[in-house]
Amino acid sequence: MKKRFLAMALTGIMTAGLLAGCGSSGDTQADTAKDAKDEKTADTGKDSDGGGKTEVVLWHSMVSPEVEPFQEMIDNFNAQSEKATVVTEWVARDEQTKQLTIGNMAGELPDMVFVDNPEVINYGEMGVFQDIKKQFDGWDENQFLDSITNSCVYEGKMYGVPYIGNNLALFYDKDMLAAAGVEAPTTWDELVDAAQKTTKDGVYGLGFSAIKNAECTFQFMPFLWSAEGDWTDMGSDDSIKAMTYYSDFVKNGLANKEVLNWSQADVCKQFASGNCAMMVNGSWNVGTLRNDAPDKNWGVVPIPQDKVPASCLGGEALCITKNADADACFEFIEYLCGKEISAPYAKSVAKFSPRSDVDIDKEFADDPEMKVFAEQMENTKPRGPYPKWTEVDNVIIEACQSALTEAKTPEQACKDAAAAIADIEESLKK
Amino acid sequence: MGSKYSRNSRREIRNGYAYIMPALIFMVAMIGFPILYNFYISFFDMTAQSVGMGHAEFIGLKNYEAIFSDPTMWKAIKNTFFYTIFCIVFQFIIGFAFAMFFSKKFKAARYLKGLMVISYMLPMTVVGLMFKFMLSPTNGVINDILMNLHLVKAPVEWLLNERTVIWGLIIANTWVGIPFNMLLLSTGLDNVPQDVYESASIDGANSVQRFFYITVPMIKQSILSVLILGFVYTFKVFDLVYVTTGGGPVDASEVLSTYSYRLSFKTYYFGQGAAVANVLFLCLFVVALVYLKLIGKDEVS
Repeated sequence: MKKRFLAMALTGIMTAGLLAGCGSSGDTQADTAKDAKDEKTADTGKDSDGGGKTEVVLWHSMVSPEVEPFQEMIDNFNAQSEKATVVTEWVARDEQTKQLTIGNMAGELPDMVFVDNPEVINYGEMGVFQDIKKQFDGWDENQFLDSITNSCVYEGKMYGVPYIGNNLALFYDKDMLAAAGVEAPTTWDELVDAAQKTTKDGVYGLGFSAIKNAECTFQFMPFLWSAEGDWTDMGSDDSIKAMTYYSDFVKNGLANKEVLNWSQADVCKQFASGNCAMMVNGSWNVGTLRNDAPDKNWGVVPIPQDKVPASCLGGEALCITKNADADACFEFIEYLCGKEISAPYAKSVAKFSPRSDVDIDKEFADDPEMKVFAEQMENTKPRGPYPKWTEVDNVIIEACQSALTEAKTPEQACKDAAAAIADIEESLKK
Repeated sequence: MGSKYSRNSRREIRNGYAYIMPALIFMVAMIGFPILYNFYISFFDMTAQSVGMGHAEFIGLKNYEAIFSDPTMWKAIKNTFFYTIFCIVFQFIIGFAFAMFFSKKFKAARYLKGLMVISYMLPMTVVGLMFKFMLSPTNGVINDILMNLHLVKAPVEWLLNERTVIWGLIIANTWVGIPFNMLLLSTGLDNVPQDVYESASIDGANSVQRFFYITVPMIKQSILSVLILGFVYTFKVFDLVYVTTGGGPVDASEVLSTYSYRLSFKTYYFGQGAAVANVLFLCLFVVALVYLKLIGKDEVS
């Protein structure tokens, strides 16, 4: 009998342990959110320091070496502002989306938060962020690159202000290209030609990331847009052309099929160790390459184009949550994203200002590689903006992967994606 | 009174309940509640949007309808069972072989056994990353070995091919599972008295007969618990798949847990994610009932 009871208890624990895993992960999230809130309320005890400044809580996920210039900027703001005091709280990047969702359910949100640009509309339409169109239009320094501000605008509502951006370009190994007798490519045909000539002895011409997460879409979009295709029209000839061009690199052996499992960081490692002659990658790799492969002779050019130049926007927007004091928060936005601070601050964290009035020639005179990315900002487009972008994102990833694995023809992959996106659109109308 | 217990023993029973109370409360709060809550939300239209607006509608079985009409769900179910069954078969056979080997009390047996457990102690994420490298077609060691043994002509695209990816994961998980099987089975083997074997030898039983008529029946309990525990641990695999392939390429290695995670935390369909988790739960619940039944029958005999 005793044994039987033990067995029963054990089985109970076994089966239960399983779901406890799923269920309690949510609970602990909520708990940590609550803890964060508790600390916050403890802090807000000294809410009225000086002449009644409003305290605003800002979530960020910056780590060294970005966090030092960031903290300095916050301190400078707090010293000069008469309206607001910004208090920062660190939330791990992977956790942030979950924390926002759960915080929204539990009614425990910060006042402001930095959000990855494709997620802005998602949360905005969820009701997490305020529409700040009025404040933005009334601001005299609102000169931003339109394509980038668009990442925060949906159906006339503006859910955030882009504060920092980055994009993708083509890195190339100068020595390998010189040995193959080709120039850095600028068009699609030249890219294929250069890749063919540099693919040999275990070296692949091109590297990119097609791993099963958002990085895949991020890297595919420049090709899609350059052919004048778009995610809203995946079944079009232009979109199919882009998918064909993109997947042919793997099919024809010019890119390693392992791109399916390579993150962008992996791609950079492959490039640094000389396993591919060119790679599609973001501006943050400039610093990585300089540190990790100081002897490597490399350059950067914009992503070779088909019909139009295009790159995909990475970077974050600063959003104000639903119950926050919008005016106090917007003062901080005006400071951080304003003419004076935006460009030098962006440069200090190796990213780019989304403003249209940056003097790129002056700002990047000493850095030809970063200058390529800075100049490309105006051809950079955001993913979406769309309230169900994460679902569209999944569809595009599946399309790319099924074309790359040749599970489907590029045409079929695009047609299926178009149908799936039409379904998502349908579900949004309900 | 008409009670069949004396006052003393009734008090004892009361005391007994008092002792298990904290554990019971803990189990109900930490395990029972999440399970029930998970069932509850699987009947509601819980998405990030609806929850944010504060009105999640009751929609009956619609979430279940939605997941079962998604081909990915069927693929995930198929993959989960396929993966679990083959992992168990390989782990069990190899683990059993090692257990038999180490039961031959030779000098280095203890140390070797200790060494083998290392793979069981490694975090799954590390195992995942390691196998991602080892299974790589460009410079992975597994393909190198296969090529040099002339078992394959061209490197196998383990994790990059829709047909082989699940086998790549099975290899990785089998490697982790072998020591677990070995440890439990060798504990069982240690408890088999040697004289049974001796008398069997005298009666003329050969080694195969000794194995099937003595070893297996004598450690039936260990075998049963190894298989059931192994099934549960393997069936709810998450970390290995998430780290190694993320369920890809496309959805070729999607299993129930990764599919549930994707629904809940990538596209924020919490209701559907919960529904998938419940399917996973029910599958294991059935296994647990079978286990209870088997144990119970054994007790009676």
